[in-house]
Amino acid sequence: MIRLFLGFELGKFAKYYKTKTGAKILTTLLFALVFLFVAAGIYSFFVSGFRTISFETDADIRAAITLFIYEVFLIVLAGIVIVSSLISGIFNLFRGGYTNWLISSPSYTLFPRIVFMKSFLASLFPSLVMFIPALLALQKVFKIGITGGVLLFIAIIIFILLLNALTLFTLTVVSFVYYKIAEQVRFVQFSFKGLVVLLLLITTLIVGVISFQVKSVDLVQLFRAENVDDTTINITTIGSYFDTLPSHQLALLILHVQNKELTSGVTTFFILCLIALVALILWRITSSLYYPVWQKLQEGTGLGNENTTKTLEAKAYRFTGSSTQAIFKKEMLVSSRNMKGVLWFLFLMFIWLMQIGANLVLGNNIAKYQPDVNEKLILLQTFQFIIALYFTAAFTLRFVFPSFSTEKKSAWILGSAPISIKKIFYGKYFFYSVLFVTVGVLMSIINTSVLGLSITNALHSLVLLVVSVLAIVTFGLSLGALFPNTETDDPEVISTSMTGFFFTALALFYGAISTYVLREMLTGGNSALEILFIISTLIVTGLLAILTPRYLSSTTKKALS
Amino acid sequence: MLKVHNITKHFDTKIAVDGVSFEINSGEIFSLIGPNSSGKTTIVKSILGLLKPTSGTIEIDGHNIVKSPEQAKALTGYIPDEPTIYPYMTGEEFLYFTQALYNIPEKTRTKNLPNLLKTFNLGGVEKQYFEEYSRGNKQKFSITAAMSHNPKLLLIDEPIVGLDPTGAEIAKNLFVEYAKNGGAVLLVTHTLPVAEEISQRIGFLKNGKLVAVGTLAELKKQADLPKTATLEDVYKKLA
Repeated sequence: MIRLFLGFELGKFAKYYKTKTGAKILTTLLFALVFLFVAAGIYSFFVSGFRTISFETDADIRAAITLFIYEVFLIVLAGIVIVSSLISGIFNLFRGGYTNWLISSPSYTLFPRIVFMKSFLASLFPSLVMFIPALLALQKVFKIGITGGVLLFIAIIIFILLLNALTLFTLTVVSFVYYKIAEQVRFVQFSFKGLVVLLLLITTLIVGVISFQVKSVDLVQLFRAENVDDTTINITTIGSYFDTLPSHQLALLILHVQNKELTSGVTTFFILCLIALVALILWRITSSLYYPVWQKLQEGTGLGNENTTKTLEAKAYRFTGSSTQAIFKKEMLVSSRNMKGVLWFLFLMFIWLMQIGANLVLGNNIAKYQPDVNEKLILLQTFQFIIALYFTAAFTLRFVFPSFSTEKKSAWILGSAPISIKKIFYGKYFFYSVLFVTVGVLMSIINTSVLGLSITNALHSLVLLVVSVLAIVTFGLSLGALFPNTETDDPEVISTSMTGFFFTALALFYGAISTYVLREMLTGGNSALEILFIISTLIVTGLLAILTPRYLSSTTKKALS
Repeated sequence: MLKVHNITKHFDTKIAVDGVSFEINSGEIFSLIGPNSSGKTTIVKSILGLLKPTSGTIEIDGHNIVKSPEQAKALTGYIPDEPTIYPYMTGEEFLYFTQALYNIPEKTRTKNLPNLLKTFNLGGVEKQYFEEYSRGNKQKFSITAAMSHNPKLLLIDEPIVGLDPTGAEIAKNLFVEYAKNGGAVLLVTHTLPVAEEISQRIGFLKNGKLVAVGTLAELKKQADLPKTATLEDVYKKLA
C-alpha cells in the first residue's frame, strides 16, 4: 500500500505534464525563477552571516556565537515545520476528504503512515529550499567538503523526519487522551474544535517555554569584552540552554562540520539518528490510536445539542443589504468559519510574531548597549517593512489569489443567481481589502511601536504599507479571477499554479521596490520618489480594480460551471 | 417561458450538444432524458448561463441569457445534481443568502423563512452547518432555496437522488403544484418513473441530439411500442 501511495504521488508529476504541456513547462520555469530568486537571497544572507562570524578571532567565542545562532535558527525552523505539520496533520488525519474508502478497507492501519509520509514530504521540500542555499554558503565560507556536505544533507532529512514523527506522535496522543477523558468525564465534550483549541494551547505553552529559555540568554552580557577570559563561555555554556530541544544535535553537527571535526560530527550524527529512531518508534506504536478518534470525529458536532443550536442562532447571518454586501458577508462568514484557513492564517501570524519577537530582543539590545541607534533603527524599520510586505504576499497567495478558483464546486450558487461577475468581484475585493489593510495597519503599528520610531518615520511606513498592501491584494485577486484554476479547488495547490508563481514573483519584485522607496525616504528624504511611487501604485491598482471585472474572460465563466 | 433554439456546445473537439431546439410553456413540466454524457446537464447549464453555448439562442420569458443574463437568471431557480454548498454555512443562512442574491426584500426574507423550512420539515436542523447534513438534507435545502424567490422557470437536475421516500414524494408534489400555479419546469433525470408520472412532455437526448420529443403517448408511437409500454421501454428502444 505504501509503495502504491508513493507510486501514485510520484506518478502525479508524470501525469501533470500530460495535458497543457506548454503552459506547465512555463509554470515550472516560473517556479524555478521564483525558487532561484528566493534561494539567491537566502544564499547571500547566509554567506554574509557566516563571513561576519568567521571574523571573530577568539575560537571559543566564535564557536559559542555560531552555536547560538544555529540553535535559534533551527528552533525557528523547527517551529515552522512542527506547526505546519500539525495543521495539515489534524486535517489529513481526522478531516481528510476521500478517506472513507481506505478506512473501510482492511488496510486502514496504513492510513496514519500515509498521512505521515504526506506530512514529511510536504515539509521536506520548503525546508530544503532554505537548507540547500545555507549548505552552499557553508561550503563557500568554511569549505566543509563533500563528506561534510553529504552528512549535513542527510542529517537535515533525518531532522525533518524527526520533527514530523514528534508532531504526529503528540497529535495522536493528545487527541486520544482528550477523547478518553471526554468518555469518562461528563462535562468534557469531545469535538474537533475542542481538539484544535487544545493543541493550540499546548503549542502556545511550548513556544512560551522555549521563548523564555532563549530570552534568558543575555548574549551581550555573555560576550562582553571583559568576559573573554571567562572559561564558561564556550559551546557547553550555550548548549546547556538548548540541549533538551530536538534541534540541538543538528546545531552541534553543523558546528562540528564547519570546524572540520569529523569524528565529533559523525558521533553527533548518530545521536541525531538515534533520537529520530526513538521518535519514529514512538509514533509507530501510538499511530493506531488515531482510529477511535477518527470514528468519533465522523459523528459531527451540533446534532441534537441545544447549547450549540442556541450559540449558532445568536450568530446566524441574515445577509442584510444589497447583493454585493451579501457576497462580502458570505466571504467573511465562510473564511472565519473555515478552521483550516483560520489556522493557516494564525500560522503565518505566528511566524510574523516570531520576527517581531526577534526585533524586540534586537531593539532592546541596541537601545541598551548602543547609544547611537538611529542608523540601525532605519535598517530595522526597512527590514520590518519588507517582512510585513512579504507576509502580506504570503497571505494573499494563500487566501485571496485562490478565492475565485475555490468557488468551483459551489460556483453554481453564484453562477445561477442574477448577480453580475462585477458584483461578485467587488464583494470579494472589498472583503479582502478591508481585512488585509486592517492587518497591515496593525502590523505597522506594532512594528513601529516595538522600535519606538518617530511619528514621521512611522507614518512613512504606514502610508507606504497601506498602499502596497492594497496593490498586492488587487494583483492577487485580479490574477486569480482572470486565470482561475479549473483543475482543483484546493487553495494550497492553486497557489502553485503558473499564475500563482507569477503573482509571487510580481509581489516579491513590487515589495523590493516599495522597500527601496521607503529606505530612500528615510535615509535621503527623497519624498518626490515616495509620492511618485504612491501615485503610480494607486493608478495601476485603480485601473486593475476597474478593468478586471470588465474583462473577466470566459475562462472565469468556465470556472463557475 | 423557455425557448431553446438550435443550440450547440463544443468542448474543444467534442460536440456535447448538437443543434437542440425545444420550448417549455408556463404551467408545463418538460423532462429531458437520455444516456450518460448525452448532453442533458450541458443544456441546463447553458440555459442558466453557467456555460456559454457555441451557437444558438436561449430565451427565458423573452430575455436572452447571453445578452441579458441578470434579467434572465432572476426568473430561474436551479436545483443541481450535486448540491455542494458552502460547508460552513448553516441551512438557515443559505436560505437568507440565496434570497439576498435574488434581491428579495429583507423583511420578506425573514417572513418567508418559517414557511420555507416547513416545505420539507427542515425546522430543527436549520442551524447546523452544511458539512453536517446528509446528502438528502442538502438536496432538500437546495430545492427550498431554488424555490424561495418564486421563479418562473425551474431547472432541475436529478431532484430525487438522495431523498428519502417521503422527501421524494414531497418534492414531486411540490413540482406539480408549482407547475399548476403557472411555473415552467425543465426536469433532467434518470429516474424514469418520476419523469413519466409528472411530465407533460418528454425529450430524448442521444449523443447531444434531441432525437425524440412529445408526450409519452407520442414517444411510444415514435418508438413503435404498444400503449401499455412504459417510459423505460421507450428509453430502451431509443437508447
